[in-house]
Amino acid sequence: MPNPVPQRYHGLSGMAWLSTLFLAGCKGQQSVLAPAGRDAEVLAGLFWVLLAGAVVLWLAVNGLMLYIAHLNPRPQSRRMAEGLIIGGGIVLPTLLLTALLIYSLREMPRQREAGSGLTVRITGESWWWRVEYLREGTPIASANEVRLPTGSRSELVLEASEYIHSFWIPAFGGKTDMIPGRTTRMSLEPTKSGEYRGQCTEFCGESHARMALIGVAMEPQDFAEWLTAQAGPADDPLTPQAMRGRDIFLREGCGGCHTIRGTPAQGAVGPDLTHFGGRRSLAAATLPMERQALIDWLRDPAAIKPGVRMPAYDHVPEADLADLATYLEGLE
Amino acid sequence: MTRLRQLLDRICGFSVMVTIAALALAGLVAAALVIGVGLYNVSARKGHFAPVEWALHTTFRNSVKLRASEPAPDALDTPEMIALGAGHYEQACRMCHGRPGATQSATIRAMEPAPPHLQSLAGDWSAGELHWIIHQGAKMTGMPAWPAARKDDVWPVVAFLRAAVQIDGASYDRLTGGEAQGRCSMCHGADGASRNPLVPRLDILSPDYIAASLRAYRGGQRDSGIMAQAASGLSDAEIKRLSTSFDAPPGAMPATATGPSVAVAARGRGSVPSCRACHGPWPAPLNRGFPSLSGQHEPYLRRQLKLWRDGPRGGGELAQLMHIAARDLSDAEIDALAAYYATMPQARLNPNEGSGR
Repeated sequence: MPNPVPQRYHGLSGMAWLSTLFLAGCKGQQSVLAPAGRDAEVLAGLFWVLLAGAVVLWLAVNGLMLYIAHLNPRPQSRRMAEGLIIGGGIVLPTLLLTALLIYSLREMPRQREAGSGLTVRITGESWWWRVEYLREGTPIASANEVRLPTGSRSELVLEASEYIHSFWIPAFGGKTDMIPGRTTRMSLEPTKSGEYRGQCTEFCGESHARMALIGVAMEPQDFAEWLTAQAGPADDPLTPQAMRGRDIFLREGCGGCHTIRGTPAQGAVGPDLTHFGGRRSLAAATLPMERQALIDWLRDPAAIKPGVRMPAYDHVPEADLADLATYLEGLE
Repeated sequence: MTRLRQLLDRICGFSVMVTIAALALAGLVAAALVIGVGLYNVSARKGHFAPVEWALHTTFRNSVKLRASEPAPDALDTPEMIALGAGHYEQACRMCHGRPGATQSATIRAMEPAPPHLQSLAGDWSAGELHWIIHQGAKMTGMPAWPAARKDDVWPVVAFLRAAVQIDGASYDRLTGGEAQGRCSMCHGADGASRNPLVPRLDILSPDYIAASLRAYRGGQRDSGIMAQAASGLSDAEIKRLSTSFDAPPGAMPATATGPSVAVAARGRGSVPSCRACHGPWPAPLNRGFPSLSGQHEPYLRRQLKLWRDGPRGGGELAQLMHIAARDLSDAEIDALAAYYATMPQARLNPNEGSGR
């Protein structure tokens, strides 16, 4: 017969169960514990070392308490007590913390080390991410998705338009604040190709919670091909629906805020849509890149994302919105 | 002795109560007679008793003086302001306040109180007081309030009233176009190409936009006392007819910008979208509900941009787009944009457009 769990441990087992729930949030796309970049690996390693150290210390302290209070309850000498306090309370923590400090001070500059190749400027807008791959001449503009090659260090130049934001893709590395009027820098070196989720981690206003982004790590060859394609103009619409969609885009004033390279639309307020259909998500990783979601977004963005700068286009007939969605989806 | 005193107290207490009750009853009876039976004579054949008249008039004057606080604009007494004010006066105010060089009609003079003749007004009131009276109206006099929340479009009427003292009948006819001019053309010109820079040109606008604007004025969605008066009596059929009654100016929409370019117009700035994507010049057909701005009058554009930015200008169903677009414009940008579009050649957005969608 198995031993029944003593009554007094019920609370503890409940807490243990609850903590597995929290840990479930660490799995998958947006987790410091599933690193896919060199900096994130260092941070995850540091976390495990600290966790192991904390467990050892916890066991030592509680073991000592158990020993003194229950197993061998007898008076100790003054010498013994002073040795314990000075050794365990001053010398040991000083040594441990100094070692950790030296380790992390050595590690910190590396997280901002200039990259060897690519430089990406990311601007925190309200409430989305402007992403520009810098090169000679005009940068290649995109939004809400940061693609980086694996195996080399890329530099991120971080800016903000109106409000303070913080850039964080946990699988790649640490977080860095984006401050209006200042430029901050960090660098990342993805190691495992794949898609990961990031999130603004500084409260920035109404739609802070809906300001996410997707980090994509790609094999260097794939990345180079992708970037070359991104530099090109938008695909011309081929189907009648898509052609109508382009006319609607140009007719309804969308080009006042958005750029689609290769068309008259050269607006600089909202995200560049030249290769919009090739992105993995919609509205800063708020919605999946799906047709119905796109139509809903075009009709009334504020219903999905409070405080969004884009106005509602509910005066545009539903059939026109559908054609517009067809055109935008086709911009791969 | 004490008994007598007690009795007296009781009688006194009793009589105070009785007096109050009797007065209350008398009041009720009087009210019942006046309101219920109709004893008070509301006839306008004779005015109030002199002391009542004095009390009412003094109250009115002091009430206006206490509340009139709107500062007058710098350019108040300009010919353009006077002309615009005269146009509105002719349509909304002349019936009661008369025209220069002529007395009011016998019927109007029989009103109680009789509306003052327009040429007697400016001497009695300051510009701010005239503005307050026109915008707020006055209870129990027949003077209505301005039929819009906006205050700035009251000033042309003030300017006209200040000038009216020196205007004779012939000049007034010249200002308002006399009998021959139609309702729109009085201010907007017979061809829709208004000569008054405070008044928008209509010839560059599409029939769809003109119709949507008239419906918005008529329904109160667009805030303007002058245009609410002009549009309030229009039927749908009249709106359709009026919207197609102006020919487009010669010249098609240019495909690229000409003249000095303004960055905000071309690519936008910060959160301000590019103007040209909706208002031209633009190389593709645009929504006919958008107004062309090419060649529009500069003071009109400046005023409208400030209304978009600062308050609920309102308009048709597309108005929300412009309220969002204009909210971060600076004064300097508004000046630059108004100048930019005013110097463009007059053109409609979609050349060869028909009437209606």
